[in-house]
Amino acid sequence: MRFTDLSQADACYSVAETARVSWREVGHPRLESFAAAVFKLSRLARERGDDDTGWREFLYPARRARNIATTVPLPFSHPDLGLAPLVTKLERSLPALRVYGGEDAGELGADAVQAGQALLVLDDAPLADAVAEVILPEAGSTEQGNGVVLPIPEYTAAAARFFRGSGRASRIEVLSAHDVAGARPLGRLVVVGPLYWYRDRQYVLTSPRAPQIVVLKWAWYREDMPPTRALEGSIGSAGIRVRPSPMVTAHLEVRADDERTSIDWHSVSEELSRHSEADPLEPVPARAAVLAGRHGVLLPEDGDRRVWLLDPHAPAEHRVIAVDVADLEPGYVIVLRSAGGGDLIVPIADEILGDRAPKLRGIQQRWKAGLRSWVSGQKGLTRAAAALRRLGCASASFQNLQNWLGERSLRTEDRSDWQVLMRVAGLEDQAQAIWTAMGRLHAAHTSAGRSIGRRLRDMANTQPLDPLLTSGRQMFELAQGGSLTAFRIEGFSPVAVQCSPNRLMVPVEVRDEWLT
Amino acid sequence: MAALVELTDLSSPWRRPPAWAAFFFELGWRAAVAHESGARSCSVLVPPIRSFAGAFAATGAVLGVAATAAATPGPDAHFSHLASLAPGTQLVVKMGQKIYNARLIGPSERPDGPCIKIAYDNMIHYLPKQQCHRAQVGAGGKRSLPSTAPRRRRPPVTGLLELFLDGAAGDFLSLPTVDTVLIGHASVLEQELGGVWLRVSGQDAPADATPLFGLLRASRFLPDGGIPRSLLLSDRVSEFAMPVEDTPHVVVFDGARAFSRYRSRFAASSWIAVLDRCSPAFAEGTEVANQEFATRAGPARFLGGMDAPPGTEWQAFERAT
Repeated sequence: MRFTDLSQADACYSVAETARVSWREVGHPRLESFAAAVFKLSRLARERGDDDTGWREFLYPARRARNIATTVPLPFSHPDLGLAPLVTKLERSLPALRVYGGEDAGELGADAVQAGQALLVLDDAPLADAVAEVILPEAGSTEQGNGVVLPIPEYTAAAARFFRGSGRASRIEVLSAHDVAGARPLGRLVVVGPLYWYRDRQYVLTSPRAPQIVVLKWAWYREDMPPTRALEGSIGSAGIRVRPSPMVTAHLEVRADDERTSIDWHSVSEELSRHSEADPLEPVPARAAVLAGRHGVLLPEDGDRRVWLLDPHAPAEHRVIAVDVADLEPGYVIVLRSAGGGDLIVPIADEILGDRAPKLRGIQQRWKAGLRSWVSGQKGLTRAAAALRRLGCASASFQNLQNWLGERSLRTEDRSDWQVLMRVAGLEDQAQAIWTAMGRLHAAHTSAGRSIGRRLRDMANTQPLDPLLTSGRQMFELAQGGSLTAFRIEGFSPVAVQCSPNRLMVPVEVRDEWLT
Repeated sequence: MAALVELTDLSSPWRRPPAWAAFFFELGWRAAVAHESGARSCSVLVPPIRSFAGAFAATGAVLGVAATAAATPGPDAHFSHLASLAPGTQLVVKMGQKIYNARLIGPSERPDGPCIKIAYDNMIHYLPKQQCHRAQVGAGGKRSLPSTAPRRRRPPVTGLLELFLDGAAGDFLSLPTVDTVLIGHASVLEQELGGVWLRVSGQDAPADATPLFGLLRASRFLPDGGIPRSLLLSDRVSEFAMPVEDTPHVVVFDGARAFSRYRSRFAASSWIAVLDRCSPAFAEGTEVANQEFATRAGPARFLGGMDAPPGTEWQAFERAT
């Protein structure tokens, strides 16, 4: 939620009074062939209830290729579209599809590969052409300007560059659905369909930000009329006037119900939480979230669930605040470490320590590696904790041992417990030196903990946030070489998974075929 | 409202309030007045843009209560009420222009007559019966102070308050209450309440203009000891304390999150919920609204003649008790 001024609010009510939605059909025979092959393959997989690896390795990139080709206004051969690597992947996965799916699936797969390759040799950009045709006839006639809404947000920057560089519709604003929510009313808004992409973002049409909204509709899609009421017994309505959707004119006819547009949360969660045999930590419950820029992250369901929220539209003093992960929603921006563990205290502490940080971190890693090695020979944390207690480490428990193995913990509270840990880690002769070194780290962590909110606010208040607003992602460099990244949350998994604590709050690039 | 006042966001000239702003102000006012008459209503609105809707509705509700809430018992009845309360009962006590949290010790006989003995600010104080109106416990938004109570120094009343409240303007700045609660994204609401100024049409003396928060009088906008009429709550807090023990007439939920999380905390109040189509929580908000609608007692009868602003869905009903 962001502040919008009175004049903008006023303009939105004025627009709502007159807003009209019309359609513009777009056709492209070769793209239709490609879309048809992918659709038929999807339907075959659904009929067989088959979802094993052989199918997914082909079907997911095929759907991704179809989705970007039908929603991003770039030429098919444009490198920013990324169609070529997906078609190459299809070509490679075709033999496996034949094995797993049989000859009929193989035939459809081959059709898809062939149609995909045929697209790649074309410089055609049917969506960009349609956008330009909608905009151009009256370009300049509207002071408020024109906009185009793309359903997949990560392509807005590339499309904006393309429109600027091509000279066609160079003054058009390229927006994601998120951007539309806060946008100042425009003169005309082109919405790239199909409308099933906006199932959870109906506001693109029902809270209109332009008096003229034109939906680009592929010739083979049958569009349903958008609902204009959400409240039962409502006195008023969204008020938009929608012209009837044109009839399907192509050979192929696809409806919203035939498509899979949701994120494959099972695969995303699996990819993010993959357990390593070498990791002795007991798994904890977590929930996957997909972030802008094809990243994902596991957020904790239990324990310390605090995360730093960056609101680029908030006043400076409220721009960065700590919130519980349960308070997060899609569209919010969170700050995470760009690499390494998920704890923001660590890079801030390192910044405070300056040149001493690498040496001290090396010592920290050394004793944790020694302890981890010993624990891995104890058949589980519970047994390891019991063994430590027998050796005289009175505070050894499952939870404490989990903490000692984690990144945040630096040393034990009790000195005699520490001696036992160092003994099993094979570092007994250096126990005193390591204890002192960890004390220095502890002081830096404490100082970082006190100042982290202020430092993050300084960072967000002193740098332009344009990249974040445009792409949903922005990296902030730290003085000591580390970096933090602000990510917009695109969605949350409906189910929780178990993962190692080391995987929490660590942003990871996710295979894009799981995402659409 | 639209014909009587002008507004500005300080970047544009003074002008008549837009129709949508006047609608939300009027809705808040009418919901508060209807609540005073015993109607416990719920209005859920989905405007084309959420901004300022809750702020205007809450301001209207605060002034609606102040203009119409019934004045209640005289000194004898109020004294008897206080005397019947259990020792230790939390009170607010107004001394001069400040209010304090106080604790009831009990009734007491003094040479100059019956008194109420209270403790506040590390002091014991004896309030004579004729001044017992200074001490108050919340009573469902009803005034527990006698309208005939003597007041020596009234704070200055702007032309706007005289316009909206007429004879009740003095009480408005003297009696601490929580007639209205506004819940939402606090920092955004603060900007909205501070970003719009109102004045009586045609009166261009700077002293007569006030930001919306000057009429809302939520405690967070007031100096220490200021007299609140409302409460602005963040929809992120899990616990909160009312500055005065009171049952608000109207609670304005600015956003689906506030509506779904906090409505049960204000079950005895009337509700106005502003839902934002652009919020990820919108579906949850409409689901809650439709559930409440399904168990309604009947249609809202206080809305005659009001038309929803363009592009606004509006569900209004009386809630079942």
